[in-house]
Amino acid sequence: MSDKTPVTGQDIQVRGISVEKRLHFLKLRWVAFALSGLIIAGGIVAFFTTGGFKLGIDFLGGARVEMQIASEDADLISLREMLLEEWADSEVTTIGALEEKNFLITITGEEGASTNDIAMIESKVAERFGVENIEVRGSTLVGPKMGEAFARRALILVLIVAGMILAYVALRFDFFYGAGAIIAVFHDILIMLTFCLVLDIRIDIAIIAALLTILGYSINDTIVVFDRVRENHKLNPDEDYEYTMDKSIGQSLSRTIITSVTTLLVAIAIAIWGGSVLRNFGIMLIIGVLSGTYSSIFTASPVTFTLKKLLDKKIKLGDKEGKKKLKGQKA
Amino acid sequence: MSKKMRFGILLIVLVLCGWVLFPTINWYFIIPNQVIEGFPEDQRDLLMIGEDELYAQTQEVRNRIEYLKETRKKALSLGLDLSGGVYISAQVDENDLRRLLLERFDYDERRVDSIFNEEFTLATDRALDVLRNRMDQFGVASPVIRKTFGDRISIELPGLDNPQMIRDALSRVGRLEFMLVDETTMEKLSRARVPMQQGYVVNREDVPEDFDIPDDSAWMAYWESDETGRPFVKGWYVLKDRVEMDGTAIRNATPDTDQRMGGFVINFQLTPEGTDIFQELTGQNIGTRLAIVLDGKVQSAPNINSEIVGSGVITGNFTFDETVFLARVLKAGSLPVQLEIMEEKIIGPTLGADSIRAGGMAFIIGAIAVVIFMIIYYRGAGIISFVALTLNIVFLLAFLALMRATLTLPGIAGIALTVGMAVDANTIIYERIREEMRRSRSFKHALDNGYQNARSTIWDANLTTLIAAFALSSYGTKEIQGFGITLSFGIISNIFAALFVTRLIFDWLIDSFKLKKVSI
Repeated sequence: MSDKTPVTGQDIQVRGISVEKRLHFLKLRWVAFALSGLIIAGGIVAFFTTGGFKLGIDFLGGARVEMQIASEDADLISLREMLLEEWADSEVTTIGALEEKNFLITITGEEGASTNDIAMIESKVAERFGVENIEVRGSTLVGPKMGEAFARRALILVLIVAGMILAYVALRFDFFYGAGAIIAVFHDILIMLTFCLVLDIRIDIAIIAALLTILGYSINDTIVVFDRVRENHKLNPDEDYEYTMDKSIGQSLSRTIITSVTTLLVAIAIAIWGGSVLRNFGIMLIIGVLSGTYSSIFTASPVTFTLKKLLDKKIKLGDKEGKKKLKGQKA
Repeated sequence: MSKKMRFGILLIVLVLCGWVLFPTINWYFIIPNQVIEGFPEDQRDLLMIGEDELYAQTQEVRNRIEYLKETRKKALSLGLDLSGGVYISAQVDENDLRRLLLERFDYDERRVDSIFNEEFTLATDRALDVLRNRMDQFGVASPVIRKTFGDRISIELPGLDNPQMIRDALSRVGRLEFMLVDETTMEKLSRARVPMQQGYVVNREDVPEDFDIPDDSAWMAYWESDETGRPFVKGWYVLKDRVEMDGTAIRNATPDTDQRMGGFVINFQLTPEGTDIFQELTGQNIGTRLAIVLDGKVQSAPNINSEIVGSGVITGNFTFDETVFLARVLKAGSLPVQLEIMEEKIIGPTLGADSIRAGGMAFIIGAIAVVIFMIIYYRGAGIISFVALTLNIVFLLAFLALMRATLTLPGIAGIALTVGMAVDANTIIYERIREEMRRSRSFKHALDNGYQNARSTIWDANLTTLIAAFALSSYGTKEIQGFGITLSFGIISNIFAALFVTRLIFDWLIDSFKLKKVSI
């Protein structure tokens, strides 16, 4: 692969990345599968050691109050102590710089929270730090029934989207591509969930939105490669399939990288400047874009190829003869 | 298609965008800065004036309010997370409803079970009517009350930051009252040549200032709902102050068709206590109208034609929807159900302003970074993709304004992400052109082939993403919906910008400036 130095054509200079030699993406597939497997296995271990996903109040039910306390003594420790007296499942974090004294108080509970809880938090804090020092910037209350409904809908939604995409890809390409695309997508979702566990991010609606966005992004990335495979396969139907795939991934590599760069730039901007509401959303997007880029190269096509090969052997379809003949000639 | 025609199409699309976006620009940037003598500093405060207080305003103010309302309707609205306000999701209290139904059906559990779901939906609709009827009391300019998935009621009150009032409004059930129309005064008004329609005063400002009404009577507004369920004042009645009967007297009410005369009517049955009161009331007041008043608002004022014992029929020039509505109103008093708050969000004004700033910042920095990257990497073609990107955002905003969508913080994130993904289509095309350039001698040829080959890829890639975006926009949460909708429209305008606009610019540059190639 030549780098960014200009490649001289006949009479015009063409800049950019161009893959001249064959890169053996598919040969690496078992390494790639192992790497993905390892990360996901790490996620499963983390799942059991950390006690599962931490859900946000959107799903669990609970209350959240954001307030600014303009008092010298207001800090995380004193607030935590004070709230623990009343609610076992309470959590206090700061938003923005510490000096701004912006606190986010969250209480969750199996039996759910009510509007009384919010009023009680407000009055307890006011009692301690003086009512004149307190500005309640916002609050959220989610009843337990509501949370359940959200979680169920989110799960159904992911499955429906996956099914629709599978159907679309199977229709436009064939079933194996559809399977490859879906596995790549689930791979990305699993990686993102793993990072949720590792980074101790609570799963709330924003995270679901990030998961679904990456679902779309990853599919987009994968389809661009598949499209190239289909095109190249149509041009040279007798070519060794592994070679066609390697070539197609190589040809779309520059696009894959550039798109992930531009999307990453935005995701990073959202994570850094998007404020407290969008921070975790941005972080999940960054992880998802990286994973999506990786999976479109090392998961989607390799899975499709592996499946095709497996079924080739079983039902003796495809171009086994051609493959043998062509093996070694190319590269 | 000739280049002129393509330019024409682009121009028409841009003019349409400008036309669609003007109210938004007007509402957020021009109107707040306009100073007009005698109007509040921010004219938009005029919208806080209640419907039934409008008659006291001058014609000028009324015209202005009409204009502001029109503009607001067409402007892109900000979600609660940006504008600040209160959001509440409530549901009819199942236990409460079950208890009421059991009482009514003599504790026949099986019967109640079989009708429970149906009754639950009906109770939700009644609660919606009652709440909508109270919309103007919430003290905010544009409350939104909707039914959402699973028979839930969502209430959005932009600009409000004290939820106590709305909690109270939710805990109270509808107060249904029956009051007699003061026919003597109405007769006098008619003789004073005050314009009337179907027996009610059309405009209260038409009433002479020295016109006195008796002490035991009062003006009361007659309300109707527009197509969005928003109540507006249709006219005025003078009613006797005495409440003759309240909603508990009604046992049941159902919409029906009139067998003999055709048209739509409402059948109603009274409780035993109600029967006695109603018989006396109707017997003594034949020929007088009886106003049905819900939470202090006249809903209808049918004429008492005869003495009514036990059950009766309300006839009138009703549409079917009106009869359904009135039947629900009558039942609201008889089957008062409590609402249970499922979710509540309060966004203070500073939090909303911070969110706008943060979202805007993330968007601007992200977009600038992407543009810089594209220009460094693709030179001249990068500038073309910048133009396409700008147009893309204009199309997207126009789309959103046209669909009356609401811009939320996740929505801004969706727009920002569209920026990152929008250049993807350009990247696919440009990379393809570069590839073709390595093969072909002519730039024009490479350009043709590049677009040709990229087209199916762009369609396939975007349509699959669109599936995900549509799914997001169908999710029952406001925030995610906003995100999904912006993403969906982003993808659509992206396809147009990438395949149509950039190509046009390339062709125009090459043909008009006789360029051999554009740096890419």
